[in-house]
Amino acid sequence: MPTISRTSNPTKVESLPKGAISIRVNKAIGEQGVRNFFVQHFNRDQIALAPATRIACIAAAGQTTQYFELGTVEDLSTKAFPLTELATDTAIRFRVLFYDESSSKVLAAAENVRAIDDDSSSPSLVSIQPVPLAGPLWKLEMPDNSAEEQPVLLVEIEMFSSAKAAVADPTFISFVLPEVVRCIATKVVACEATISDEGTWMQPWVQFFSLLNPVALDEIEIDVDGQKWIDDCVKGFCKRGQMATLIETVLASMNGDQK
Amino acid sequence: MTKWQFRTLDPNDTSGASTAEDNFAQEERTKVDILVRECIQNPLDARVPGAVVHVSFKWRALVAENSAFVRDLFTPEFCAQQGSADGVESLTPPEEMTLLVIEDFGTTGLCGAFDNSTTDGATENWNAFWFREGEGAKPTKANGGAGQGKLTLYIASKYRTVVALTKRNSDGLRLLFGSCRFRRNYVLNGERYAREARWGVADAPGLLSKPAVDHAVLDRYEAELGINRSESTGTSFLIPAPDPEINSNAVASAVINEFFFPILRGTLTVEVDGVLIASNTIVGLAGNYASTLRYGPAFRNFLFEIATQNLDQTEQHLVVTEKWADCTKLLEEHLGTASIEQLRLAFKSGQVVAASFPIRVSPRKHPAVTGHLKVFVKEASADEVQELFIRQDLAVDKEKSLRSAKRLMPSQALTLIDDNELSRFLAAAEEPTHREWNGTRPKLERNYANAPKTLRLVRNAASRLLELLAPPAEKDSFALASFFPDVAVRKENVKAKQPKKSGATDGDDQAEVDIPAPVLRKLELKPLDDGAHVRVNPAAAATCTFPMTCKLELAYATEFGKPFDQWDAADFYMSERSHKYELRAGSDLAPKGNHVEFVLDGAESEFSVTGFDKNRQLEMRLKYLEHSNADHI
Repeated sequence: MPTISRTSNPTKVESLPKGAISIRVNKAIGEQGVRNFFVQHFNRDQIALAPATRIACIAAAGQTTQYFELGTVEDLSTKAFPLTELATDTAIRFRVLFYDESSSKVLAAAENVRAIDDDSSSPSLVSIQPVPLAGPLWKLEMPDNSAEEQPVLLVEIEMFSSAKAAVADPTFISFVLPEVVRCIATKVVACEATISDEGTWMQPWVQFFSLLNPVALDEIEIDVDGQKWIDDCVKGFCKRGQMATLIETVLASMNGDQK
Repeated sequence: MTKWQFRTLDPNDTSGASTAEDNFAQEERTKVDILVRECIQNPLDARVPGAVVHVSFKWRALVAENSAFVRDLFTPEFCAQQGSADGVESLTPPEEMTLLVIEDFGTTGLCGAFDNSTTDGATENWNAFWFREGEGAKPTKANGGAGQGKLTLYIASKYRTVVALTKRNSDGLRLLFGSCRFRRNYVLNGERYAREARWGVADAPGLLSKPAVDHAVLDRYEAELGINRSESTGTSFLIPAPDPEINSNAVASAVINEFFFPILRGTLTVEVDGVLIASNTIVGLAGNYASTLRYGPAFRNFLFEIATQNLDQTEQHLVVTEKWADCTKLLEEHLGTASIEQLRLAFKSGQVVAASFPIRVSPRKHPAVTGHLKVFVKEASADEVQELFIRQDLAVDKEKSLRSAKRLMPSQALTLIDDNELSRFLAAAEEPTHREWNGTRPKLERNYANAPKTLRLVRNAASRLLELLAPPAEKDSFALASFFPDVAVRKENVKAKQPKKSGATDGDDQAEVDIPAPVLRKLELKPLDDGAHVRVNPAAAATCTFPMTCKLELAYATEFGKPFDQWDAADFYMSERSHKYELRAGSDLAPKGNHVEFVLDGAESEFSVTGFDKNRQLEMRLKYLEHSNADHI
């Protein structure tokens, strides 16, 4: 028997369509047992809200909750926030609320957002390998345009004798990875005609860059806006998740506020 | 009968404030951490050979009018002296007072001469505790040795007063004695007074103050304060009016922080206000205090693994040859018969690798001897890197060895020094807080040759071992995954992990699949502010067979459970007059309870019901059947 179900909405709070916002959870570097979360993706076009609308987030795990302010619709914070007050033995759910600052009225909400959990079993788009470089301390090696294998970040073996040691160093990571993004974004812009070819190493990067830059590569005039697009990708990368937290840590340590 | 003894200074004596207290003002440690560290370190040093040391922290509430102890302590003279030292006229004795009782068992008590304060020596604990500052009686291998730690007990008391009842294993005597240590010298009635006042059996300033030994007096105090020193040797320290920050939670947390490993390995048990912290309870308790602990769960697990699996299996330890001390790196030739490949394999697979390092110690007055330390290392993730040095059960936690091995591999390390020779050397190198070593301390220079080199070897053993174990450099395709996730791969992984629907068959994917066209719903259901509206979908009207029999169910949303199952007549009850119904081109309207049935006769039919609470979320469910099978509704 055909059945149709509906629910009334007395509060007139708008529900965010599924997939309009996604949240990633991962382990915080340098802090024991602490997990971070950050907003990986937010599609502003899917909801009609004023740019100044404020965004709050409530993370919940079991009986524990933690509250965060994430900025505004036009300036959403994508940096990583530590989840210090949540139970660790159960799944985390998020509730994202959009509210008017002056009246505190909730205008829209995304309920029960499940976090994308980082696990170490999925490969990275860039590999890392310590090798003797005889001079420079790092170098990005990019394969041919049509190749399938991913770029490799080479690091001087005298500096880090294991990839894990390099990744554990916040200064190295915060100095080098943004430039890795720049190199690859530049390559992608230069090879714009072939990036959609199936099976090349550049294809997943286009999807990755769409998380960093709201402007798609095929929407811009390469000769005019190409450099700006690359810069925006690098800035987007630096403002996002764990990278933003590491850069904050490094800046704080330079100012004498070491953790 | 106990008495206070206050002593005036000679006109030529220098007066001022105690500077030793500043050594215990540490930014990264609370006063509770420091007190607990000192209170447990002393019993560990005074351990009866082979015994497990047990320390207990208890709080007693005393009412002055019922307490001989309070009355005997707060004499008019004591109140006047306290008042002068604090810069007030006179202290008012408290009507009620908390007493912190810290007792140790399995220990020797305060041994040594108590009738001659000039006697010195390794076993003269009585004089060292009551009559020395800046030098202790302890042999240098002991945890303490700087002779300043006892100050923390005085600082913990509002009245800077400590009383101790000790039973000695040397002669079986029970002794009761007390002391007050003012922050600085003070003036009363035109006389300068010493910073220390004694509470014993003598009050004449020129005589040595001696402890009370009268059984009747001691039994009375024991009964009143709920302690029992007649049974076992050791010392009960009584701290009047302890700082309120020194509470049971803070003490338990400090115990777990400072003495996690000795408790875990079973050489120490501690009871805090009735809660036993022992090898079989500390792991669970650590979970309760997790937010205040300095060592994260991964490092605590590492220590647990060592204490339970690695500590006694010395045959599994790699024994490094003495030649390692002459090289800048640990080489394969230093390993004796051990296989470097097997060690690397064990390390890479996440096992704890243990090694024993010989270190030559050169006392100036004796021939050089070889001491040993043990190093335990284990690979860790970047957020779990932590290390610890433990000398004779005391954590020397400011020392760091792996900083120099940062480039190798994120790891956890424990450097354990149980060896007496090496412990003597390291104790001489320790700062008064016992949290770090200093290779240029005068005591060290005075007693040992080549001290800086010896100390460097102790510090570097863990990083040298790690350097040897670190696997050869290789390409890692996962290390940067949290910065550069492959989104497409993750989506496929998620799909692959999803459970298969029941009835789904295994088999190869077909090359071509005919995707059926979407089927339009024949009716539309729309929520209203206070009700619901049903109409025929204009786009699907041509496919409908009329009449259509409909059943619309309604219920207010619930926080838990299914709203339709939880509908109650008290929420609403639909009858002909209860709500407003509008049925166009339809028939057989029949409202009842939380549902209404009706028939739609044609494409232009529509139905609405209103009159529900506008402020509540309304759940609605529409079931419909077309003419051909409407009888089954």
